[in-house]
Amino acid sequence: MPISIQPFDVSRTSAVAELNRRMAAGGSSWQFPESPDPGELAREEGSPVFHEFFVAVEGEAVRGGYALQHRPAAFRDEVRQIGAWYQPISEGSVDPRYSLVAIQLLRDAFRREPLCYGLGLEGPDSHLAKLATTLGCELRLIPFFLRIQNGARFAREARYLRRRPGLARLLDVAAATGAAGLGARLVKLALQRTPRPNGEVSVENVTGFGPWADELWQRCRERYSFVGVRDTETLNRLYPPRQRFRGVRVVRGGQTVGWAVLDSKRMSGDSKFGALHVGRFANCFAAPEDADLVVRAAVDALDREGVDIILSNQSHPAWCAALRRNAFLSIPSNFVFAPSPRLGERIRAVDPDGRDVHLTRGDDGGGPLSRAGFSARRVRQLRTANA
Amino acid sequence: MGTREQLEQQITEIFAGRFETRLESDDVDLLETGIVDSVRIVELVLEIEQRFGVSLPFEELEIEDFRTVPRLADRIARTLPAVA
Repeated sequence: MPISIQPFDVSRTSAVAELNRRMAAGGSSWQFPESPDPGELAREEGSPVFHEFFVAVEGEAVRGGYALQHRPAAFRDEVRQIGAWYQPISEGSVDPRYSLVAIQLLRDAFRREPLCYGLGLEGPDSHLAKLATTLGCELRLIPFFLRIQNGARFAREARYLRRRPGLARLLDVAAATGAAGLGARLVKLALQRTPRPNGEVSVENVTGFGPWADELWQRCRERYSFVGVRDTETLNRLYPPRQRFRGVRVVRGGQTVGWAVLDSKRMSGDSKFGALHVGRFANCFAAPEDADLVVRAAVDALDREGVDIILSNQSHPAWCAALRRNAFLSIPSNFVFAPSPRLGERIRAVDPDGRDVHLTRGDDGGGPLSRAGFSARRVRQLRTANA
Repeated sequence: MGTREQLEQQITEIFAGRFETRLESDDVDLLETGIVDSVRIVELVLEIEQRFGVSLPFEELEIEDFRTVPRLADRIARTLPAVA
């Protein structure tokens, strides 16, 4: 029976629940949302920012699905509608009779939004990343950075470091003797090369975006070759006031020079972070030369919350350099940018080396704050791992 | 293009050459054995299109086309009228 990709509506909710049961029975941790409600990002008249879910339908059964976030992006001075696909799930991962489903899903995304991308994908060696590659996507890793705020807690809780028994014992000793805390402070002192802002610069905590974000966007957008639109309307759709988030706005001489969206969570039994209080520098915008000021403001804000570590993914060299100057360590990245063939062509047309592309965690369609934050991401990682 | 047997032989050669997978017999179930998955299907289709000069739109393919080498040969042969 032929399989077709259709918008997910309420008539398919029980079929999606059945799919989830079959996936679980087959040993997969992947689960597709059982409600087609896109929540805050439902399609609204006149707004280019919205989410949709699509399902692979075979008769009455659903064999897979994916989500697509529609939003505008700027290619220097030209704004075009693009898409970010995420949460792909295929019954092919537990039943080879449905191995075509994953292909159909990605091709469907490419057809609905020819200028689209996937972000994350559990690294370049994942099945999903390989499939994207075979379908013509040129993968690129987005650099990953870590700043250690509390060395002792980091030494005790960072499970991905503690998997090696010898290193785990060493970290225990370092935590017990205070060496880890001292070491982290020394590393920060050694790496911190951005001075505190002078009196002309002020930082405000914000819970929404106003006309100042539009002014900044218009002034700086052409500094980037490819950047998701970050005007007031788009930002307030992505980060609605009802959804709790923390932001900082950096002002210099009465003019907004940048902003950052922050996120944090006290983890519990996490496979990588144990019980660490993890902060994320999730999204940001500024002229490249003002990245330092924004990173510094974000670090100070998260430091006041008492986070143990701060994480960030950034593609643009100026933002990467700003993170390094603010004592972030560069860590091997597993965060993949997979532009569709058409999007890859479009970016190359304005920026052959892709140096001025500005991507952050916040550009992930299902990423931080856009839906359910950390927990949604963890579920999605499990899904990706079993593509 | 040659005979149907030659077509199957060429498919077997694709598995051996490109995928470094030697098929024990023609009736090996490529799906159940995991020899073919979604990534391999895309690679296979691209290779077949290039090698045989045919077009195999994904929308027109069925998973059973990839079940065995003879099934795959059937699917390719439908686009190659000259194959006996």
